[in-house]
Amino acid sequence: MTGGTRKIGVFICHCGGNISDVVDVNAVREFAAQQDEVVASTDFRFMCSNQGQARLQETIKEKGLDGVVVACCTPKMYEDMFRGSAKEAGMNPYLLEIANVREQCAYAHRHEPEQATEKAKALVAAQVAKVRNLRPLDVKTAPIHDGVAVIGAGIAGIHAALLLGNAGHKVTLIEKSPTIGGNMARFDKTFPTLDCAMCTLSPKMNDVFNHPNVDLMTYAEVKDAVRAPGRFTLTVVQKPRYVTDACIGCNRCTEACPVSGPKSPIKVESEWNLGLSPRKAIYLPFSQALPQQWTLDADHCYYFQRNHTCGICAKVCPADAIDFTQRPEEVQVEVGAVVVATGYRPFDASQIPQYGFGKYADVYHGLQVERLLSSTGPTNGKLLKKDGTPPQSVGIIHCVGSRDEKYRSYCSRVCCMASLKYAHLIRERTGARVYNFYMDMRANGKGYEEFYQRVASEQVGFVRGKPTRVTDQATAPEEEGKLTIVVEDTLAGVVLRVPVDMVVLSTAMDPEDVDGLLASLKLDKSPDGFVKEYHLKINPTETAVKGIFVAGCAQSPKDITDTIAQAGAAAMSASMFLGSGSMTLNPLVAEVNPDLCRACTRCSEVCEFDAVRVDPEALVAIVDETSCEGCGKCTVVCPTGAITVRQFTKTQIAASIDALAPKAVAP
Amino acid sequence: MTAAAVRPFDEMMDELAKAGASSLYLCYQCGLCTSTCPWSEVRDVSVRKMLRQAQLGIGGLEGDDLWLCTTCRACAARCPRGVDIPTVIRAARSFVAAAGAEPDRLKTVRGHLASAQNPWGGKPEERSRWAEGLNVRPFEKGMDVLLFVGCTAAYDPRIRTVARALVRILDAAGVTFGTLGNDEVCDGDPALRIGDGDLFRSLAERNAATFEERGVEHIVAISPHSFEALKHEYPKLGASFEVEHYTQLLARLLDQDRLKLRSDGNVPVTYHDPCYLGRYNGVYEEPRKVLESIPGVRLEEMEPNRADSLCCGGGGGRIFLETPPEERFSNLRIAQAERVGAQVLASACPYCVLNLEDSSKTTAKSPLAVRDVAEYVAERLA
Ligand SMILES: Cc1cc2nc3c(=O)[nH]c(=O)nc-3n(C[C@H](O)[C@H](O)[C@H](O)COP(=O)(O)OP(=O)(O)OC[C@H]3O[C@@H](n4cnc5c(N)ncnc54)[C@H](O)[C@@H]3O)c2cc1C
Ligand code: SF4
Ligand code: SF4
Ligand code: SF4
Ligand code: SF4
Repeated sequence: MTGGTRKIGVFICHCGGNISDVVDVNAVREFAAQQDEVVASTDFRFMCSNQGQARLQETIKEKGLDGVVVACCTPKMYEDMFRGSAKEAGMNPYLLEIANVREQCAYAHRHEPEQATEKAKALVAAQVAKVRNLRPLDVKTAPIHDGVAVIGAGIAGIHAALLLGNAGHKVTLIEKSPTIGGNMARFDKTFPTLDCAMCTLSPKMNDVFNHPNVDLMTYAEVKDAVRAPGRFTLTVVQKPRYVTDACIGCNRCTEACPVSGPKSPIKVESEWNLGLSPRKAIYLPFSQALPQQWTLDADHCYYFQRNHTCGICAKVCPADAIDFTQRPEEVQVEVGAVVVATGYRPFDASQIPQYGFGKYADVYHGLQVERLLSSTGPTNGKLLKKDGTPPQSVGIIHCVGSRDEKYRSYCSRVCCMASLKYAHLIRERTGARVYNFYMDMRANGKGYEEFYQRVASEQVGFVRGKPTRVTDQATAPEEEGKLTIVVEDTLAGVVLRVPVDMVVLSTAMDPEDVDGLLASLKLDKSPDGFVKEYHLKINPTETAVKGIFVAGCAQSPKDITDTIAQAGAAAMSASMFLGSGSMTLNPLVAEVNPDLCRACTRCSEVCEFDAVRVDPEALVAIVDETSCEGCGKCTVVCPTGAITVRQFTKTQIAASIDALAPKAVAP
Repeated sequence: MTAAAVRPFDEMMDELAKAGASSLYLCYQCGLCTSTCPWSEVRDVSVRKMLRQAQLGIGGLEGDDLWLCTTCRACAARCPRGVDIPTVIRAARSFVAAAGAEPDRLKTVRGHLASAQNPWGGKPEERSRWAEGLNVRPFEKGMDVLLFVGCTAAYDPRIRTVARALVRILDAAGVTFGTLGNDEVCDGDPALRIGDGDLFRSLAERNAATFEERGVEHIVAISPHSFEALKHEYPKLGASFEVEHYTQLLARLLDQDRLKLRSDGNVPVTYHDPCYLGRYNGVYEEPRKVLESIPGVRLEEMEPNRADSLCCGGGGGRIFLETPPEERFSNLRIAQAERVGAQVLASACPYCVLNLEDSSKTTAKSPLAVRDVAEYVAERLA
């Protein structure tokens, strides 16, 4: 040991034999002790144990260490913990490095113990050399803004917003459609209890609407998001409703509006009823919509499309609420956390042409049937065919798009139960014969198997098989004028032709199209297209971005029970995050030396995380330390060496390499 | 009946796995293949059940049902689990055939293939007789393309006219081409589909060697079955060349304005997609384009068409086996053609033309001409 300026300690872990059975830890310890500026070298059975950490802390204090190398397992395991212990003992935590002698030596070279030991020595030497060149880093903290944005006001977003509001946080709930409620508001009844959907949802909609801590923005979409430490600045576009909040909800405008009238050249279908009914250009999506503020659809309005003709709504409005001069407005919303609750939309059944969706009038997808069965729907809750008569037989096809590698490989999880729900409601209301075409009946929620039993007892037909097609070509008198479902009844082993009056396709749940939103929030999607959670098993509500949480069908298909549970968990996680008040920033990211920076923008061109930009006025590159991943791509292209990643400067890396390969290698 | 103990047939399961049939284990028994299979329209047979028995290795594949499959791929095109059903069936056929348990007629076909290099039993020295009186030259380097004739166009008197028609078209368009004459042997498709991989390989290697020797780089095939074998099976044996179906070449010649066609009055024409051209190779538009370029032709689409098209019943070795009239898919196809009011039913495959013409003669309510696209075009050459 030669006297140097640094006091470095080396700690070699046995990992209870995982390391020491292969690597000769005594040899490594003695080797380490000989390195320049190493003042302590020791080995221990389990460095991660309480005693191991106590040993680390005592040595730091006793010897006044200002550098530590722990030779142990991968830094992914305990680097943070060792740095925390070092900090408690009074050392700057960023002067501690890990030499991975378990995975890289003991595991990789299990059968070559001598070479494993030599490699362990080299790794320790390299990290000692690096530590010699490290400088202490300040850990910055940033205060977390106390507001929270919830994006999407379906049952997930409403529930999360209510909990967060009740916990005292300032919530901005942003919904892109004119009303809150999401898909659940379309249902008449919910499985398995057959509760009236609006009776459970409506009170929550009202609560959130009136909540003093919840600021509601409907008909609004997040256009962009900028991240800064502890804060997200969302640019929200408030689409023009052309109706002010003076609206008293009298419906006179809708009655007077000529659009979609029998002779009107401009026609438009109701999005809310999924194309099953026409709507006017000025409308309320459904009677319990919230807010009870009408919306004018400029794309289908004579005033906007035909040169200011019409304007009848403005003439009949008693509240003077119509304002044709409104323009889209951009609002900046600052928050500390975001909950993504953007939900799902139905898979487009016309992708499977064999089932006749869009070709035969009486083939419907699940959400359409929800509307046909709803008392606020286009038929006031009466199940009728397009010709206005009730069906005498109905076929319900499960797994349309789901569990099919040609379309969506995943199980949409709710369709089995939703199909049973239709079977029950259709039998109850029309007495029609009902056939369910299923492959596997998945009834795995609380009360679901019981529900299956109940529906089966109502004399519903169950055919196990995936139909090949729905056809109107009759091959027998019973098929005339009907839609025939062709299927192998796999239990009986025969091909059946089942003539019905109406076909319901239980379509897969697709994630909402939120690519733009995810890109601006820097969130990933899983391979199935839904928002990627932090960890599928143990952290399904957080995301890889600190401060952003996910809930409901935005994350994966699920029923209302699971949606509520996850929304509660997301709200709790967000609340804890906000409540912590400040966040520590990882200092191991890029920094710019302004004296060297030439504002050439090469760094910003290569950064995949949009973490560095050149300030046009100061003419210097600025790193957003929350977005930077410390990947180092920018440091390679910077012509002057102005941008470096902390603790990975050229001198620091070179020192490690020199220690690994001390002799020049012949080319 | 008492239940029999399950005794998995390990040998068969191993053979199936070796023959590339392991996608079989993904099957979740939905039955979509059964109800999609054209056989379900004419008799009771469950593809799903065959797969079930193979999955558990409990036999059941030794019966006649295994030899029904026309390898049309209608099932595989839809299977939600991506099971390659025709490959499973081919593998099972190899296993059964190796034990000598295939239908007798197919034993004869294998014999012809081995001794005369064609499934029909024609004499090898008469392979090029179809071209008598035409100036068809042996392929030599520098020619635009090699015309791969195939056994049916070479030996079947009805289909010879297709090859002769194509010669006239290529001459008219100024395409220089040649054939391998009597040195061509069967492309091997029949051997492959009836489960004789070794026989396939020996035929394919023989053709591949001739291609190599004569410097063949670009092949045009008359039969979609030759096209598929040349395009997807030969490369597995190391051969390399470009290959297309003749309808693709004709579509290109029309694009280049190299074919002038005369009007055929105002005729409703429908087109039947051959499985090996459509589902196997995605060639749906070129033959339609060629037909529509004949002035006066009004193309009507049958239901089903393109990827859903109904098989003629000739693939997978079925062309060599007897099918009772009430079980012929081609009879159903004739009815479908009549439903759209077609006067001409066109197709682009020797097997399809043979089967459809047969059915048209026996079941069409009013005259329905069956023509190969090449014949139709040649007839309308200006
Ligand atoms: C046919 C069918 C029947 C069902 N029946 C039942 C049942 O009986 N019982 C049951 O438990 N479950 C049922 N479900 C499941 C149930 O619908 C879901 O669990 C529930 O709706 C999920 O709620 P959510 O808030 O996550 O999503 P959603 O209800 O889809 O709400 C998402 C909201 O976010 C909004 N949004 C989307 N993108 C954006 C954006 N970029 N910016 C702002 N806002 C946005 C949407 O407009 C919508 O309001 C059924 C599902 C289907 C398909
Ligand atoms: S905009 Fe005017 S007319 Fe229309 S509902 Fe509101 S108050 Fe009534
Ligand atoms: S280190 Fe990587 S993430 Fe950070 S600014 Fe540079 S390129 Fe971007
Ligand atoms: S369609 Fe596919 S998954 Fe369904 S039974 Fe047939 S092979 Fe099995
Ligand atoms: S390939 Fe065609 S004939 Fe064979 S099983 Fe599949 S659908 Fe039936």
